[in-house]
Amino acid sequence: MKMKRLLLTALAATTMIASTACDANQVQIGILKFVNIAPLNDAQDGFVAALNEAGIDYKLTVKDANADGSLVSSSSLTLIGESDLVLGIATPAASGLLAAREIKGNNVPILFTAVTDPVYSGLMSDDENPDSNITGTSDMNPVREQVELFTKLGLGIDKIGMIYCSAETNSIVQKDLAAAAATEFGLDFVFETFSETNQVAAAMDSLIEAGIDGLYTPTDSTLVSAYSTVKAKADAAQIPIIAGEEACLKLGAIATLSINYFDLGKITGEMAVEILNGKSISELAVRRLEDLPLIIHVDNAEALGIEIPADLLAQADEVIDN
Amino acid sequence: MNVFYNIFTNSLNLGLIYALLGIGVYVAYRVLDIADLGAEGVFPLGGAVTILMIGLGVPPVVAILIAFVVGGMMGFITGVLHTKLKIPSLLAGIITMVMCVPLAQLLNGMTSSLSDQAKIGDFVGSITMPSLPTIFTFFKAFIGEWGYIVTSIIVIGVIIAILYWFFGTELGITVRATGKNKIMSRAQGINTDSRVIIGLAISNAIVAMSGSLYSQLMLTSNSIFGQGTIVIALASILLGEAIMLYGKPNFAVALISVFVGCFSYMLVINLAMRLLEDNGYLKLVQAILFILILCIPLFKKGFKNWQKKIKARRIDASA
Amino acid sequence: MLEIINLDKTFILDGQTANNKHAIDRLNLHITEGEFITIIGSNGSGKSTLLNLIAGSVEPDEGQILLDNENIITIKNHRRSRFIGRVFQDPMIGTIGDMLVEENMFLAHRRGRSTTLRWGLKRNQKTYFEDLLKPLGLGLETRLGERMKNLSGGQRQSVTLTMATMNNPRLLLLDEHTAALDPETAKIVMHITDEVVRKANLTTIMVTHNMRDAIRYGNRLIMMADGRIIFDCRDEEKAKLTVEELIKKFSEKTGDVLPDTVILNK
Repeated sequence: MKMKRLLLTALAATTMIASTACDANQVQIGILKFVNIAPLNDAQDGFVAALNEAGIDYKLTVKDANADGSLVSSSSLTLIGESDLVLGIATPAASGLLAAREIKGNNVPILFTAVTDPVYSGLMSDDENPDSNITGTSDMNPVREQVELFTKLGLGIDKIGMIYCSAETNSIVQKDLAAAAATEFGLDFVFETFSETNQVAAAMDSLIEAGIDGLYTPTDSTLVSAYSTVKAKADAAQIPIIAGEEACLKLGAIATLSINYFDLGKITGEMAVEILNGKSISELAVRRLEDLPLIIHVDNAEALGIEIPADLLAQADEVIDN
Repeated sequence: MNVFYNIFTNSLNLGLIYALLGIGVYVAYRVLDIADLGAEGVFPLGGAVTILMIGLGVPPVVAILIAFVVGGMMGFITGVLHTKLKIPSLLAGIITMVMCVPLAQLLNGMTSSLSDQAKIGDFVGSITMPSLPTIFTFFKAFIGEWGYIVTSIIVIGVIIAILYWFFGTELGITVRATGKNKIMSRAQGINTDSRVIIGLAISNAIVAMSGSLYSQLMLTSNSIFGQGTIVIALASILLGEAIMLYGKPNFAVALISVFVGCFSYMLVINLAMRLLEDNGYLKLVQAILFILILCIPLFKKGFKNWQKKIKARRIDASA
Repeated sequence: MLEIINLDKTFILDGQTANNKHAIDRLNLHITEGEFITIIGSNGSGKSTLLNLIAGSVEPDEGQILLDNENIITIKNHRRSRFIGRVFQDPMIGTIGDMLVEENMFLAHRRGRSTTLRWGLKRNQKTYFEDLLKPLGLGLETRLGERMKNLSGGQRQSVTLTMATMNNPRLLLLDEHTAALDPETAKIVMHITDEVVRKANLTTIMVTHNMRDAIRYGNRLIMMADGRIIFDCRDEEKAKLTVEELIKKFSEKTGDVLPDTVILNK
């Protein structure tokens, strides 16, 4: 027991020394990333790039919560207590930081990114006029335009399906938007949800049995982690996939209007720079990416025996064709 | 200094809430000798119930009690599955856990519908309500961050007192007996089935209460945040026993040791988190820590044997 | 007062009918109140199964068990414990080692009564327990506050015996309760058993491997083999028995030889 106490004290001492060895003028920036996946990592890189470009003198602490609730809470408390500004990447991280700030009772500005709908998620009440010292960027993908792509493929698709993880609030928002878009473009719409990745296969089977001829996959980190199953099932039924994000193209989707998470993170970083330079958060409305590039993965389409219409190809900002 | 202070208060804050979880698991694991995995589902369910209730305008204290009752019902279900339907306890707990997650999401959907963000019947994974009045609000107004800690201490204190009383009553003694020796208990006329159900109901009720406190701390109900809580609970129980239990002290001390274990565990995790560049290694650290905790009895034994050897050598030398 | 009619029980071991164990074979037995019966037989003769059937931890395939003309087969075993006291062979099963002696006795004390939320261990109960343990002559009345596992095997069995007889059971079942004790302690426990049974005039069934004990204690002796009763004698006839006679009787009735373990146990 004495050994244990000794060890703990030694660790504490080391920590103290390590952390006090920093410049008083440096800005302490904390980033809490909900989970280590490509889009969130890209956002983090973009954020840091913006800080660098602006020449900010900062010390960065990054915490990855590994999608674990206890780590979200302990990391949030740690970062809020010791940073001048924090970034939460993905909704659970942002809400964790918000709660931590309530607990600590300080006034650290909170930025978020990779949050689809901050008002829906409860992070703020008005995304045009941030009134609670929190703002950021939304990765709301252009669901309407993405669903519209189904009509532009020239395949006579009239029934589309959507699959998402029921635990992801962002996906529910996208589902409602997709349903509305489907109605607008005269498409039948069905959806299936799952709560754990081992249920994905069954959900896909239900969709295929329902007779879909196109599949829409939203931005949903849990879905992305099980994408190979989705792709396998879709391929077996010869169903093309339109994705909500670019990362899914190399996983098998054929087209998307992409959110570039690096760019999104960069915009968030620019907002951070403005705050650090004295701008009030209440003047920084939530930002989104404009003018999203259309990316078409011709190879994936050809593998399904689909030929992309020439006029659609002409509109594309990027074509993947090897 | 700021860093050290933060490590201490953060570990204390979370340590108290997860200690309540540990105490709930203790009732099932140590008193009844049942490994009930249902806690991983009941924890977020308690949170979902609480957030919904407070969102509806119910006072936080009442919301906690409702969460307590809901947890008790879940424990009742696990108990019935195990004793009446003869499902092995491990599976019974898992069934309850699996049931709780969609239930929590339904409740979240109802909470969401209060602000017209969703319809009743929708499944919503997580919902945040930043301006929620909570049980912490009262003391927080006086002493800020320590208000959370004081509130948690009061809640845990009340629970420990109630448990200490309960397990000293006739009913409580029969529950303890059931956990120790089912055959003997039945030979003493005890209906062991009903005792198991009561014990599991109490255990899960406390777990739900812990989830309620957590959701009020984080102002969020998130249906997947129950994952990994069993590991924290077991680590707290085992570490607490290793640190504090010499011989077999009374029940109240055993429950307090769960808190000591939890606080120590949080401390180590917090420290590890700061020393590690990449949180990715943190899970590895948690696993290694867990193994070390489990090996503490072995270390103790080895240490005692080593002490004996030294003594024997001294006696030989002086002879 | 206890009537066993056509009791039958077969244990299915692995699905193959040839390997089934026909433990109790159409057994009939009438026991009057106050009888102290000793049962002997080789391993597998069904002695313990008979006790388990009476106590309710095993259910029969056929037959009835009538206690004072009431068929108790449908009563679950924990309910039967309210009027049946048991002492097991293993001193560890009969009591809870981690709990205190007084807590163990408390459990026996409330046997048969409804459970309340009142505080378990009351002052006046302690004196009552002390008075129960004093006559044993083992000094256990001073050790109520100790954990049960601090007591020796023989001491634990003595407490278990006290617990089993505390609430005036209609029937006392002793399942080789001295078999796991050393000879000295076994003697003491048997002596205590005899006193307790005689003082309260308890209807008792004692299964034993020890033929000497079987002859010496009780007023009726039953020998079992292959799930059947093959010999039954009482009072004067029993008092005149010797161990050699019993062994001879066994060979006559079954054509087998009693196994060494039983013979050596005299």
